[in-house]
Amino acid sequence: MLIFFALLLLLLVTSPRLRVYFRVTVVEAQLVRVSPDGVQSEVPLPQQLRRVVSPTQSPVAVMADITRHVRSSLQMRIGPEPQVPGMSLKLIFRYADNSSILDHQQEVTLLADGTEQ
Amino acid sequence: MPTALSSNASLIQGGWRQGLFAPIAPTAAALLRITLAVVLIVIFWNNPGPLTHSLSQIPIVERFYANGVLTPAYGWLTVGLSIALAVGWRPRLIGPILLILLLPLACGSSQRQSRQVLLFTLLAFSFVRSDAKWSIHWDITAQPAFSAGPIWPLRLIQLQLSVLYGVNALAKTTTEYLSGQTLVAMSQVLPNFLIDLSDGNWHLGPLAIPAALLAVASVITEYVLAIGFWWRRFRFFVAAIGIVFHISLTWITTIHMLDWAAMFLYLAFLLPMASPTDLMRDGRVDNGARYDETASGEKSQPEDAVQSHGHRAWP
Repeated sequence: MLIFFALLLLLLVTSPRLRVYFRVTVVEAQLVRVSPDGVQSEVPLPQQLRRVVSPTQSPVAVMADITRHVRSSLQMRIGPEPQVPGMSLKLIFRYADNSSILDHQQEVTLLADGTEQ
Repeated sequence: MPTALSSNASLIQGGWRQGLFAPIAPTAAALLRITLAVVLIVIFWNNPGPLTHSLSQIPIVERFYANGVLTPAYGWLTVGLSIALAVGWRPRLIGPILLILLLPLACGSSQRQSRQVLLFTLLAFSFVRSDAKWSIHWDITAQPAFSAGPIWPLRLIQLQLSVLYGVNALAKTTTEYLSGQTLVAMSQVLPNFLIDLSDGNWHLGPLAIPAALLAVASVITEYVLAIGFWWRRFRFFVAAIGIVFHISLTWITTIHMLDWAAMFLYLAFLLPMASPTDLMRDGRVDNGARYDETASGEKSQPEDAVQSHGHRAWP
């Protein structure tokens, strides 16, 4: 009986992973370098991070994934630019929640070493 | 009044025990086991894709996954164990070993849902006893058992089917989905959507079916599939609805293997899982120990039998 209820609990706890095609999220990301004097220039992102479409994740989760990837690439020093004092990076997200129109926007500022500001 | 209350309590307790501890028919259990093994090979044979993001952050896990789990030798090992499971060679030992080996293959980015469904089915099925008549074993004197153990592992498999449809139906019970807005967006941005709903309609020959109607119909169908199987009388009708539903979905989108995994679970309701009819008529239960074969190959008789007068039949 104990095993039955333990397995039933496992089934219920893992059940949210079984949801499919109940939402759709589109996120387009742009990485911008901001120099100490405020000049902005775009830094190219890999294609798979520039536009992400997810049939299960929320916009917040998709943006967190992209931010984590960008941050880890910066921390591994394979990032797009060498560190410059006072320089920062800005991730600009345009996203659609259950729609195909990118009518929402959010920005995340990263320091040059990948930490978040 | 106290007599009526205690009578009802006894009725509920008896039904509960019969629902979880009635003996499984060995033939049905064997058929489910063989089908499970075949479906495991079919679904787990494909490359599971790269690890999910959280696991790929751990270097040693990623190395083990790339250099161990994704090798052909690992694949053939799982196929060999699946065949052993199909022929019924030590299924209660092979089942957990196979489960551990297949678990990393369910951590990839592809077909996660169908693999999760099958792994839970394998986990539950590992608690089902094998029958000498339907399995390969070393003891040539062993006689067919009349039970494959208590039915609660199969109840878990049945519950999983309800949970699978139930969580999807609940997740889609939102204004955005039911209005058709989500479906329209999916048809525009998801590459595996095969129809174009950009004007809010599905053009099927001369018909223009509104996306909202499609959305509502699919959610209602999922609710029906989540609960309908538990009505014994309607289970074949509900299964037919499910098969039509999944075949229809293949015209609209590609859901890889989850369709097949879901329809495989129908067997848990459609096969005659209940024990031999004479036992079910008596309402006897199997507590996991009473029906074990003796060393001489003779079956021991149940020590006690719980009468369940008037309980309705479980699916």
